[in-house]
Amino acid sequence: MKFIFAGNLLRFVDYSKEVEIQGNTLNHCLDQVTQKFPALRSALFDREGRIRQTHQLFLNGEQLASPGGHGAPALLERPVGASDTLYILTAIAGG
Amino acid sequence: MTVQALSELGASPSADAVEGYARSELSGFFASRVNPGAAERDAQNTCLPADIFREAAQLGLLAYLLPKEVGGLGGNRRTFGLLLEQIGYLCEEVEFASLLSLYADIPTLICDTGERELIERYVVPMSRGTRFATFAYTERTDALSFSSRAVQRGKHYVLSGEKCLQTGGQLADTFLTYVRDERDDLQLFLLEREDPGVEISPVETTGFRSAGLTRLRFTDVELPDSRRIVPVDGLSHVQKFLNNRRLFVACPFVGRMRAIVEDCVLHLRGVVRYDKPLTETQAVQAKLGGMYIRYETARAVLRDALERVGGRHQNPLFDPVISAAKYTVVEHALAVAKDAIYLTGWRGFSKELPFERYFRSFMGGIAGQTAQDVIELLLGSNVVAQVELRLHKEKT
Repeated sequence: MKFIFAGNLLRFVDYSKEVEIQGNTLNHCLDQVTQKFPALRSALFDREGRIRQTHQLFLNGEQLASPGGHGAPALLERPVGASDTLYILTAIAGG
Repeated sequence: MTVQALSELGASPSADAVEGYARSELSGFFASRVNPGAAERDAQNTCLPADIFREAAQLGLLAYLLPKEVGGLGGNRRTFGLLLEQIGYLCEEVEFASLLSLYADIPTLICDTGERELIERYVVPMSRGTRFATFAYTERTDALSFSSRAVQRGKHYVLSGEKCLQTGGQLADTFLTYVRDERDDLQLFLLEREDPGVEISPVETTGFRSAGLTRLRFTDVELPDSRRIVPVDGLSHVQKFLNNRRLFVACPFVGRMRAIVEDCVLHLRGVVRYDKPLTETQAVQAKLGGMYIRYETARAVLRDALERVGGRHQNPLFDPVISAAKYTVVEHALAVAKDAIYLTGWRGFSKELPFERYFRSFMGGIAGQTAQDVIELLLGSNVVAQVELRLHKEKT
């Protein structure tokens, strides 16, 4: 599947806006992309391994509800293929 | 002036009702207690005194946002925003409204923990104005690169780092401090002024000078687990907090803009040039018209954003409409204060009139609760993403 990164996350993926990853599920692909870019892991996930709420995830243009919430494990086991696109939109203020 | 009058406003009063309440119940407080010392505090670079906030607490203003179960008034953020707008009109020191909103808002974060001990120790005295808190987030880098750290040592946490700017820190007993843990997650701790290893120093600025700005340093400060109030994903926690606060910063600016336009007219009526008051000169009227348009634009944008607060359309972490409203209000406020200086010439530039002070105070909005250029960047990035997402959706 294809990942598209924007904003604050770009520096954690060597400023590659689009990244192609092989995987069967969303979770698998997230695992693969953070293996490819290790610094991305702590930016994307909290200490309990959940996606931070500040990131908005869109699969093929549709927003995934609460990817960091309680329903997340089932959501992230969703099967994906080569034609799918996950857009991660992040707006972090302050600093 | 009673707490009852504030609670009787109800859950969703009209803007006119809020204005009526402020005029009848609050104008005397500002006229007698706050306004007389505003210029002096700015000139001397001194913070607003704690007793003014204790008096504000007696009016119910510091308990307004807290739930009734903990002694609050159970008010909502939309109405509090309207109230801040009116306070901005009545109060000649926007720093007061900024600190008031902060000191009223911070206890809600502690209250959200639901921990009875924390509520008794912090929230109740804060609602009475006998204890104050601010938040310590900003460092000299982006949030994903913060260097302030918490290291777990047995049942305790040891905190070290520096936070370069806090509003209201000079009065604060407690600093809600965001630091990174060993997994680079942000956690939120309650640091107290008296904790060994805590150093607080004033920060001098060109404006917003009575807002008690500080720098916080903490070195090997050992805290029990009970002082850790957000143990995971503090980054999202602070984004929600900033998202909400962004609008509160803008509210009093709108009220002050209205006061500036009116004060300008009052002053210019008494200035005679070529045998007639300046207010009878078309060029002056046109400038005043431009200032009025800026005020009405800012007010319309602010009130539209306030109606979104807490609603289902609001993005709780970064709401574009709220951020655009804060940006718009600050830019118009700066322009109105500058126009007042244009119209009043050397008097407006001098301390004879308050317009130069308001201009410097409004400059606090450039940096406060997300800098204006960062808002532009985030909104630009967001709009690009929305269009790209729509294209993706259309393609699939």
